Amino acid sequence: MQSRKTDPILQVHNLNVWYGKDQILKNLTFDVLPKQVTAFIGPSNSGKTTLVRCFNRLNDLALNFKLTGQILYKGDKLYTPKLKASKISRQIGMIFQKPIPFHKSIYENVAYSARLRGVKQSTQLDTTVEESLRKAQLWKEVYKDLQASPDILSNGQQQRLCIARALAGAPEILIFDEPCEQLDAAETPKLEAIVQSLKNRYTLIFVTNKRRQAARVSDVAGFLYDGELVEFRQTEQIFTNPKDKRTENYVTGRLG
Amino acid sequence: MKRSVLIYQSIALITLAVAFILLWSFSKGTPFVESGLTFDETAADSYAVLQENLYRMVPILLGSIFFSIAIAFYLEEWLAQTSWIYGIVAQQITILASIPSLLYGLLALYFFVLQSEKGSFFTHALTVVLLVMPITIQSTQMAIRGVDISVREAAFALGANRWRVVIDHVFPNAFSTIVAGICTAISRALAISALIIVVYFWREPALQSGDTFNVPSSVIVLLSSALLSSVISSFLEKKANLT
Ligand SMILES: Nc1ncnc2c1ncn2[C@@H]1O[C@H](COP(=O)(O)OP(=O)(O)OP(=O)(O)O)[C@@H](O)[C@H]1O
Ligand SMILES: [Mg+2]
Repeated sequence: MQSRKTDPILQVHNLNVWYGKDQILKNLTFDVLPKQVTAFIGPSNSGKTTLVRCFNRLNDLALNFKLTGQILYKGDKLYTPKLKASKISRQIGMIFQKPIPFHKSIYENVAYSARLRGVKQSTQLDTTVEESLRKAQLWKEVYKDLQASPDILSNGQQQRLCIARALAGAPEILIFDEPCEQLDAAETPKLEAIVQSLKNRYTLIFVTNKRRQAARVSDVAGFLYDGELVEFRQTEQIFTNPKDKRTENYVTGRLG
Repeated sequence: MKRSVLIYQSIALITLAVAFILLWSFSKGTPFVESGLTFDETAADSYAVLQENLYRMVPILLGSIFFSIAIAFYLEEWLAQTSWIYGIVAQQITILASIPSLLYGLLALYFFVLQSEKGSFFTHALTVVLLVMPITIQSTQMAIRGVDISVREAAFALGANRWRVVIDHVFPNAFSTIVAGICTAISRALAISALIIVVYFWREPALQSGDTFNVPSSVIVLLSSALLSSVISSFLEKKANLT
């Protein structure tokens, strides 16, 4: 709630996105401030996933993807031919709906992203793996089985493993795209606790279609509806004092 | 589904070829495997040429398999991402791959009858390459496409570039399916080779004189390895489908 005088880490200006002929995002403009949780809420197919995949340039993989407008990351253009997508995604990590562990040991899963950024020494890898697993609050559950396959873990543990793996890449921004969607109910509070604990070190972007969850975890929230960013404000205000009728309908559960 | 058809096809072909050789050998009334052979000089020469040709086929076979895998990866991971040419190339390969191997065999035999010893090696090599490459490319393409898109995305999201994604994730995940495809291709190449050897043997009267029946034995070896590799391939395929 404190009003920080910090530069935005992401600046989105007149962002339009198409898949083929379908316009998915319509003229979005907003800033994401560092070391906060920014949530995006909205009904299914409103474009939340499409939006956050613009930030780590994962949309580049789709052949019919087209983007106009500007996204600045720390003041620099995110979409220029000079900048490789892989360089961006090293700094902007992502957690998906479904946990996606690789077919490697738990240790190697986490070490993978450290290796990608050039960590080679085994002692350094060990510390990175431990630190990341601790930050993802999984260390205590797995430190005995680091060489085991992630198959032995529960769904929720696997998702935390994915968080640890993303953290081992030392990103600045971490995107969560409906991370609790496929987890047991008991895992959701754990994951929200991790988000809270990561908040003062990372910039977090959290996509969810559970309004209560957005209200719990985020500082700032954007409401997407049919590709439009209807409202983008302090979470508290969005939920208690929505300006737009559509936002009001959504947060009160009458829509979506 | 398509690959199991290929496997049945290769097994059928092998069985046919085996039956053919059995009949032919029996009609000659000689055992298949004979040790301590006595060659007359021309027979020894022809036999040496044949054997040398077979050895030279090994690197050609391995090389075309390696090349096919590389082509499949290039097509799926690079060309498909950037160019409309991909569609055309992929279609051509599908067409080539669906030509029954018997046709290649007949083609080879036709040229074989016309050609000299050196030419016959060339025909054999060409047949094997033409036969092996399209199926290997296609089965590798299928294997690559079978790798879950979410695994790729997860790797890209961590900052892996395409090379890393291919080496660290796509290849290991597709590996057993790729090997299954290779086995199918090898079994077809072996079966065709067996057929070609039989014809070669037919053409060389020198080889037929006396008790020199070592050629059928190498045919039997070829055919049984063909059978073995198609069994391995169907086993690997089952395993790949389970995981
Ligand atoms: N690769 C693609 N090609 C074409 N259309 C796509 C592609 N990806 C998404 N879309 C379309 O874009 C629209 C927005 O999808 P998106 O996944 O961003 O919505 P979402 O808000 O994340 O929904 P959900 O809550 O279900 O995850 C949908 O209509 C979808 O069909
Ligand atoms: Mg989504």
